[in-house]
Amino acid sequence: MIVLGIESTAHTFGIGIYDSKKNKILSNAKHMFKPPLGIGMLPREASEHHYKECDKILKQALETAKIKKEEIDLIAFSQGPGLGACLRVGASIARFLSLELKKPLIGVNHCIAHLEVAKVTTPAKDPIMLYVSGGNTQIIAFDEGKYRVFGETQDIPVGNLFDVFARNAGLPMPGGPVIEKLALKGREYIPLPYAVKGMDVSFSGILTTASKMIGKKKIEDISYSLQETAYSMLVEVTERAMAHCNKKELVLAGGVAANKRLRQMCDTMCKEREARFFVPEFQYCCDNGAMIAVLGAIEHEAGVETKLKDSRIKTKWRTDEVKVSWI
Amino acid sequence: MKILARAAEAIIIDKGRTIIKKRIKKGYRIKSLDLKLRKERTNLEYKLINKARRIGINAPSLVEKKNFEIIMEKLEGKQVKEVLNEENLSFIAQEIGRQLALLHKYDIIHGDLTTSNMIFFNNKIYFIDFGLGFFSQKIEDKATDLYLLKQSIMSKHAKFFNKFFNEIIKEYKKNYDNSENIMNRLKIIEKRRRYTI
Repeated sequence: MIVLGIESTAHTFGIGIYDSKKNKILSNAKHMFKPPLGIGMLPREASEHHYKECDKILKQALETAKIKKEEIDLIAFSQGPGLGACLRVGASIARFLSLELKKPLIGVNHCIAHLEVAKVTTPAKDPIMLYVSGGNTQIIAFDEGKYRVFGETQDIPVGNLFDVFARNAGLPMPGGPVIEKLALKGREYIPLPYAVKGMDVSFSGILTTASKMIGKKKIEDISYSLQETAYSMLVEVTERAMAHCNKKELVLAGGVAANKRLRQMCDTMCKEREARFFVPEFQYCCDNGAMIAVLGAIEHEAGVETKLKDSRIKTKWRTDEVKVSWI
Repeated sequence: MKILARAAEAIIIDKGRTIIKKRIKKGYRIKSLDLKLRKERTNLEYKLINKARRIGINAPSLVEKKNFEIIMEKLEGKQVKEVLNEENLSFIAQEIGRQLALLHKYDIIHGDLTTSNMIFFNNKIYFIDFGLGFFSQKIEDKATDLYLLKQSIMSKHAKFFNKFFNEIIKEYKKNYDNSENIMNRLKIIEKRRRYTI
């Protein structure tokens, strides 16, 4: 079966095509909205970007996959969680294609798509996932019939911590890569609030403390301390969740998975506890349409379908609310 | 050396009538942070258990503290998550609620309240693992303690959740005058996290 997946939860508009029979991702086209320097992402502007790009991205996805529109068997889209204005773009296009091509529609959960695509593109079978991005920070694993959130941020996501700090310091967006570069030149570790609460974390205290240091301490040292503190917290709660659920595999996903220091820390932690560590290829780590197509195909096989009247977006769709019938 | 358990941050070594909780080095974090966390947590955990026992909380008796190690009494009981059933549910809930109220009254925050960190032993409920605990008078910290307990019961004991948690809270309120503020804050904390309606 040929599945087309549409992703538009936040800054990225992406369309991927997946052949479920061959278990092969045929294409993964995307384009990311970048706000001007010093300004955060405004949902309305991001959604306008998605409308402008969607035609081009669809063509690109079909061309790379060498597939004609008529050959598509199923339309999958990100139904949530995410920004309303952005989600609506993907959902509208999905509905339109479904009606035009007379093919079934399926709305999938964005967070779970990150995990399922990792199971297709890496050897991981039953992993715990540390999912870190500008919009999400969750530790997810399958346990007793559901994907459950074992740990999460109690306030802002870790990518958001870097983005807002970068904005406060006059650095370009997204903040993560810039801070990573600066951190390499950092020498002095400045203690920051280390807020681990059970298997949850909290980053707002770090953001306030680090922002107050701008101009008083070297930006390289603040960046270094930011990374060391935030990532140590994340790896600590991930390890705690792995021990708690007795899982032997870790998948790192989300945009922040691009960070080399975080990868290195996860790798060391897994080695010390004799677990296996996987990071999907980066194009499947950050937001992308291919992962939506993959989860759409898996759910469809288990008999799930989204009727047109049930295709409204779910901006606050929690991972643990999803009915899992395919495992 | 017989290792009883390998937790995420410590190993538990069996010494017959006592155990050693040893915080092990974590290679993923920088040395200064690693030493600081292990030292601080060991010191604080020792202080917290000490204080908790003095105010009448059931917790293991302490023998000795070294750099990254605490030697303490070995409790032969079972984790509450293993023994919880419909018959003992009320008793266990009341015991948790009563003792939690007492801990909070004396500004002790446990920091990691799960049914794995409570031991059913000698017909009593013992609190263990104060490794993420601290002293605080803040309503926010006390409410976070309840929030973590609620979350862990929801994911581990979904079947009993309503009855179990409600009974804990009922007893908690009965034993703690300040509980209204804390319960209100709990609602705020729940709204603060991602994707809540």
